[in-house]
Amino acid sequence: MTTPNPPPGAGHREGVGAGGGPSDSVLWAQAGKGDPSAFGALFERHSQRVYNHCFRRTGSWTAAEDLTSVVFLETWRKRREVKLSDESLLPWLLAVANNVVRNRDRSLRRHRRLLAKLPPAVVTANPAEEAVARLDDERAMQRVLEVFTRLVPDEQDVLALVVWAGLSYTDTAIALGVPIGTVRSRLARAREHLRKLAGLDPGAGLTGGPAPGSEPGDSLSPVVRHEPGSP
Amino acid sequence: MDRHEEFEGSVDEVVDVPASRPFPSAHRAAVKTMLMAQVRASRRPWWQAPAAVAVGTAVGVTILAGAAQQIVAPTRTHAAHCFTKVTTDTTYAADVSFAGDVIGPNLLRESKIEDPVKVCGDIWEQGVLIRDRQMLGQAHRPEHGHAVPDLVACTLGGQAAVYPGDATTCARLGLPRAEAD
Repeated sequence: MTTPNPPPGAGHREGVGAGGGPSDSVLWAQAGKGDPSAFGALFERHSQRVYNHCFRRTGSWTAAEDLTSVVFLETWRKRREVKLSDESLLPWLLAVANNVVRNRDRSLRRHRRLLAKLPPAVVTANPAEEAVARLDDERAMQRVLEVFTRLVPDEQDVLALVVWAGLSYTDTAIALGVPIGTVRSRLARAREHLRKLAGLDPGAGLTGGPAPGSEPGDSLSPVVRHEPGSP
Repeated sequence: MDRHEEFEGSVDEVVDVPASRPFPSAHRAAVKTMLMAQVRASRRPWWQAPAAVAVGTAVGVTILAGAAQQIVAPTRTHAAHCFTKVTTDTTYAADVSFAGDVIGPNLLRESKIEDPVKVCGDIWEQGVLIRDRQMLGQAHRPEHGHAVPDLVACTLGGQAAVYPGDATTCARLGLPRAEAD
């Protein structure tokens, strides 16, 4: 387990991308003119961050694989709406990922024909060890999501972008199309709600309200732990 | 403060999530190919319309047949297409790669496939591939002892594409061979 701490904004600044290649804005412009390799390069550059973001939102590596594909397909489908944040496409992609995860069934249905054409991946080295590690990840992430998903959707989106994906407040604000002050206030509310949830019955619903369908005495395991000596 | 310092100490359990993992490289190659096809299809000029393609193909086959005899080594060596059928339709292929080494947050050192024919041969031998069968939804069946056909490596999209066939197979597809005999 670790705290995600990627490079700030996944910076591709001033026309130059990571490793000295073209910036996202240059590649995006080329893709818009019909250059497939430019879009392929953007996928190579950002797929891993999108994949891990989708995993953290779903708690499933398998789902994250399909959803990563859908994020790029949706970005291309709505390419005329795309806004880059300081030359980087990443904030937009992660915001699309938030929506795709929220409307997961619909998103997968829309692109099922293309997804079905993808060949199965066969990874041949240390498959058992890898599978066990991924299963451990999924269990750990599901525990986190038990708490996380009790926040309201707006708070979930902001927290996932800023805390998990490591976006700046500015990039998050641009990606979500809200003022930077809104990002700050949603984060503050998320923090308050998480604190409240930490002291509540684990069966509590969104931001401390009663969970739909939950009954007194439901025995969900406590997720937010208090270490000895912590406040 | 422009990051998540304000969360420290209050919601550690939510901040503390599993470390990043690499997007599986074999799947990544297939997704990239699919995405690039989407871009290509969305801006297809008139001369690439289906009717024009039919006419153009007849002319192009003659040209390609000559060009295809050349040898072009794959440049994207982290994965290989293992085809069950002599076609460029990737629904008839499994993409194979070796797990790479994670060398840091968000960084993966890819493992290079030195001998794609051998790698695909192993997959045939395990029974993952069945001749002429599409790979859609095929489960991995790790049983050894299946027959391995004669295989030949071509280069498709910069990546090794291994087919059941012989020295003429790549030329029939209009592809260069990946290696000499």
